[in-house]
Amino acid sequence: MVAKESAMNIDHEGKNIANSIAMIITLVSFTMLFAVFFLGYAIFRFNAQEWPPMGMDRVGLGIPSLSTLFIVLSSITLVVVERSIKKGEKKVAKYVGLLSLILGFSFIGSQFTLWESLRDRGIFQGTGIYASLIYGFTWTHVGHMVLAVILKLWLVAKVFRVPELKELKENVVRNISAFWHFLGVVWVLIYITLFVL
Amino acid sequence: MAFFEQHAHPVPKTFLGKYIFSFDHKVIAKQFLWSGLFFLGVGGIMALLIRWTLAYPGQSFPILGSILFPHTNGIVPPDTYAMLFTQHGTIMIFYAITPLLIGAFGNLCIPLMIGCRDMAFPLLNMLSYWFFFISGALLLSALFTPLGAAAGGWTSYPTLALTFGSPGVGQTLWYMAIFTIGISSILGAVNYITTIITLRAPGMGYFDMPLTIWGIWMTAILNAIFVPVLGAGCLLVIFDRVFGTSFFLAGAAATSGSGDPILYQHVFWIFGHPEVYILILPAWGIVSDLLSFFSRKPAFAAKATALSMVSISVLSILVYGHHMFTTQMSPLLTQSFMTLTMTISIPSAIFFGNWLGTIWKGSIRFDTPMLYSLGVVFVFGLGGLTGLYLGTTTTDFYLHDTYFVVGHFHYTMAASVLLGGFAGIYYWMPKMFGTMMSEFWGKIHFWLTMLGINGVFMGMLFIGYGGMHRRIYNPFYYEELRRLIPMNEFVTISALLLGGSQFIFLFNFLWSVWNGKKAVANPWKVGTLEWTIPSPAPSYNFKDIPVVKCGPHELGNPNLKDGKDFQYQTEELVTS
Amino acid sequence: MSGIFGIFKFIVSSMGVIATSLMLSVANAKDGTDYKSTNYWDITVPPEDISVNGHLIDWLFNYTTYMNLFFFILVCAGLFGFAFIYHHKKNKKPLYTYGNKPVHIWTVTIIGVAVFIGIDATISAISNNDLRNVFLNWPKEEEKPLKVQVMAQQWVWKFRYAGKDEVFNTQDDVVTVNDLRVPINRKLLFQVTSKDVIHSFFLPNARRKVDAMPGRISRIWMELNKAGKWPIACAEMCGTHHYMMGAKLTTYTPEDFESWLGQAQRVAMEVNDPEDLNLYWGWKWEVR
Repeated sequence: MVAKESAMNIDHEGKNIANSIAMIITLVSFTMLFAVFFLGYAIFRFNAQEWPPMGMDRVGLGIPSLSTLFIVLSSITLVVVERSIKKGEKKVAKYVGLLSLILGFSFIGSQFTLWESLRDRGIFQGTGIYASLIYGFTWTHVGHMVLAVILKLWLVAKVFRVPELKELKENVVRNISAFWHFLGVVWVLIYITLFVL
Repeated sequence: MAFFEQHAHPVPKTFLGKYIFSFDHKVIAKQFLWSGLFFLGVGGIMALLIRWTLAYPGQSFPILGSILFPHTNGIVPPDTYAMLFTQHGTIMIFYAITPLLIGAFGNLCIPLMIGCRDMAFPLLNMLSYWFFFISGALLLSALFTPLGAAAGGWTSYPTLALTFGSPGVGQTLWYMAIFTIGISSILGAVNYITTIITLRAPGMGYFDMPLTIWGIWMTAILNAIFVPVLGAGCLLVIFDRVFGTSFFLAGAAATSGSGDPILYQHVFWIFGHPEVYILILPAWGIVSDLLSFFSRKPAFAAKATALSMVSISVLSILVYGHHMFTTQMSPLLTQSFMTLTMTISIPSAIFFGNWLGTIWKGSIRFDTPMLYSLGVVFVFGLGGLTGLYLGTTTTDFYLHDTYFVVGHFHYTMAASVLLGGFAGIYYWMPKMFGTMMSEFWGKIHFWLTMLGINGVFMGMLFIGYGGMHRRIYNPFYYEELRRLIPMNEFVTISALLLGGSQFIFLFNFLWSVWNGKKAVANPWKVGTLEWTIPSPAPSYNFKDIPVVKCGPHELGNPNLKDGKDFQYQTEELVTS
Repeated sequence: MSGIFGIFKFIVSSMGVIATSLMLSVANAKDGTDYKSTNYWDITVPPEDISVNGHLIDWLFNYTTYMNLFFFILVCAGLFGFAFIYHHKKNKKPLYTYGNKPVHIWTVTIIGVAVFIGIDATISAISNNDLRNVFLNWPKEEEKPLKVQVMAQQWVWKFRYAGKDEVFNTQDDVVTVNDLRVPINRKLLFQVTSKDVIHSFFLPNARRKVDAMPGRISRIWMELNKAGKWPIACAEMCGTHHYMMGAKLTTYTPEDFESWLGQAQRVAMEVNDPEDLNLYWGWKWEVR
């Protein structure tokens, strides 16, 4: 470690590294959880003679694409928020943060719409393995999204209330956005493998 | 090498802050210890109920029987029997071994042995314990539901574990409890890994860490990677049970579309095989260290032992299919798993070479912790070798799901881990509670436990080879198994001996906690960092963060003067 | 340290007491069977092997046992021997070594390689060979194996033989419950499945088992060579009455089997009700 800097800076630097390591391990754990879903899906799909099985129709791309749009935009806006917090631009952080939060809520809303549209077509979670996969995957993802949205809500509220943006701990901001972007990547993978391909 | 220095956290003033919601890793370690011992007792009583039923079917279990089973005159009924062996397995694995070896020793040893003031994330640490507590409450609550707790074996395979096979909320509560304890394990794993990477004392490279820490570190890494796999499996079955999805549904009940029950087995054993290494790695680490300390010489090839732990952790995922040989996977998969299972015995063989090399030409003291460590070498050698029969597919065709498997995993998992755990408790008692346990009663406990363990599990190996399959309520139903009755009785008597001798440990432990002989700072004369501070450890651990200058096993150096035969890790290595 | 060895002696003598009382209890075996054994070790061997290929499994088991005993005795010699010789009262000065010199590394490596080649590599090669050449070497049509469909369900075993039309799941099939009858000296080919939960079709006397899984058909083949009555057990937890899910295997000489099968087929023609849907639990024989 750099011995010339003051002890305070080393400690600060060190705590950041510890936080990053912890966040990486946490993301590895979440990855393994979703990996099992992808593994199960792959096995079902490759062993099925036709996909979707039992002569079901494919789920339309409309609502899932909307979800993808929402979540990708929410990640992009979050990156903007991160940058503005670092630069101390409070106005940008506040309003883009709010936008990002709204996009997050919209994503969750679009998932509910997806489920409703499936139910309207008579596809319930018990209607075979294709339906089970869609519901199971999206439920788990939304469960994690709810957690992420709560964290983001806390973050945006803090951005609004805190007098100086410097007071926000940099690793907290980084961890929350890492989690958010991670879930975004997972969604894009779900979108591509389950809905598009 | 510490990335940052922690401040000593303020000493809590309230009872709640000191003992219930504490951030201090030593208090959390004690919480895990008490909880683990409690569940060990519960699981043990369940084991005795099982053994009684197998040896004396139709006879009422003494004393407890009439209280627990009034409707059947004290005899264990068949559906309760199924619940008993399911809960026994679950409790012993997740609620006894995990909190004792990983929760208690991990929390206690890591900061003290690597030279820091607490875990990297004390709040996460506390949450880890409370998630464990909630999980335990969920599991025990299932026992009081109308249709009873989960009863499909601790592995809970669908389709038996789905709603039509296991009606009632008990099985769902089981999956929820396992999911919750998974969260606890992952929180703990994040903490352990980060602490070991970032908070080692200055001068302590990875190979200057005691092997106990290596074992716990590998355990934590495996936990972080593979417990979520079990979590996903639990989620999928909960979806099947509660929301009617059909991930694992097949057969006549799959009226609207079918899934694949064997997929669950794959997911479960991808977790399940690393899990058995998770359970044994801390004990391996503790034994590797203690053999060195009580032989008064350095651990033989310590670096090789550490690297073997790493390689076993990496290999552990590749062998999981040997639990599924009878499900008729493709011949290629079957043969691959068999070959890979053979390779995983190489690191274990290295352990044995190193353990024997450590005691070779030592100056061995037979204090209780050492007796237990030697015991682990014995039982793990036996248990590990019996695994070879199960690794070869053709012999597994006969032995799968017989008592041979039960004997094998109890030798490797129960006997080795428990003996290692006892070694740790006797060894770290001074640092944890500031007192010494009675050596005399410790040695009696050791010999009676060894006798009991070998009687029970060797007997099971024979019974299994004789053809008795497992998870059956009344073996005498099969005429051909009646010749195994005397052996079953022998196993039960040994089990009663084993169970009874644990009371000796209990009394010794409880007496020592409150009334034991006061311990000095370094009663075992060992140089690792936890023995440089007073006994019991003060709340801030180290007044000044130590600077490490030599390895953890510096014993027996002929250059040491003044009658000393060891040096502390904070001392420069004496070369002349 | 005579204290420990004194305690050890005490423990060993109490072992003797326990062992003696066990011998006596064998003579007074409970549960009504007049089972008396003159040879205590009799009860620890596997059941009689009535199959042509079971000896491969038994042989591999015994080989592994001898190799295991050899290496375990070495480990114990080291463990007990070192514990005795290097007791701190006898050996006051320990050898200060990290165990990382070439001689140490070579010793452990050679022992490790010996263990791996002597046990691991050998037994997996043998097992692999047996798998490929015997157990996964399915009988061909020309060998005219006897085909039986096995349906496991909570908590009985159902067996189906194709009738004279040699097609499964037709009205003339012979269907039995918990009663499997097969000829000796002829290859037997089973297709196994389950109706509800996972069971396991276990024939201890043939040393074989295969899981019966809902939604899939597994298969197993064997050839038996002794006539008699033998047990079939379920070897996978399948519910409360898993312990009662036994069936009877009867092996006949080829002539006795033909006469039984002929009679059973005649009875089947009379008894099978083509309107009863429950009769048709079978499936078209899977050709792989």
